[in-house]
Amino acid sequence: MLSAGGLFTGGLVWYAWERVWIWRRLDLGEFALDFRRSVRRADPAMPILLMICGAAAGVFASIADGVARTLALAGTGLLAVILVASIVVAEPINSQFRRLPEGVVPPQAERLRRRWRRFHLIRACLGVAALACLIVAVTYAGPSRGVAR
Amino acid sequence: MSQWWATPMLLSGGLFAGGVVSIAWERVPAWQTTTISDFRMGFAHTLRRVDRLQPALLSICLVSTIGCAVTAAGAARSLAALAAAALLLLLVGSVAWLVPIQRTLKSGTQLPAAAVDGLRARWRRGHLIRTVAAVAQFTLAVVATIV
Repeated sequence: MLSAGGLFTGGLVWYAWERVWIWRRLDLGEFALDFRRSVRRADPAMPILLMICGAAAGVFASIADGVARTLALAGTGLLAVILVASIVVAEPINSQFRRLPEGVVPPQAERLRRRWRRFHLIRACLGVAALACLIVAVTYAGPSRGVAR
Repeated sequence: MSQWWATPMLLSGGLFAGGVVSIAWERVPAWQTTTISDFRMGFAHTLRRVDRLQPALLSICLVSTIGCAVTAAGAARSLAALAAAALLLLLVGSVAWLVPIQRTLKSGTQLPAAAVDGLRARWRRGHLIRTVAAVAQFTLAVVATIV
């Protein structure tokens, strides 16, 4: 749960800190090319990490009690929000770039870039909050106190 | 183990390892296919951003992992000490091996294409080793917390 969650959230933060900043500075043609390639790389890895972390957090919540359970449920809930919001908000934007041939700029690319950036910054904050909940669930009310054995 | 040390250790360690893995997974393949000049420009842009965040996360993680090792007992102490040693190795390896390559590539100095290609290959190899070390270190930190 924590290993997958750490890598997933680290990836989200890396995108928010590095790629988003660079994409803002590129012209639309360069952005469309780089964004399309980046999404192709990130797409299989990030959802897999999110699913592993979410599933493990759900199992942890089911065997924990007290504060650990509440925190694990909060973390799982935040991960579920990230998953659903990614499918509803980010995926349609990603596919607009992905389904076009490489180098072709989709219509309204500037609006899509702005929307994706805003969404991703919110998603990164939610990811950090989810990871913090899961870490605190494990450390502050950890196995010896919070998890039924 | 003190929870006050474990929380920052896991949070900063996770974000650090996730960042390193993302560069290895997303940037390294992209840089392999670009031209030498595009690679140098993209590499410099990435470094400019990453050099502010990653060392800060690494430092927080190192201090809190040492804190964990000091306050823990038994297996947790050994694992946290091992994780701290791995982080220290990672830090020294980065400074000794990768930072000089980064400085050379980032500088505006004209270099022959073959030299840049060689540096790119060396940096890639070094970064992949760093990625494996960072993931192993983070895993050790997680295990130290739950034992």
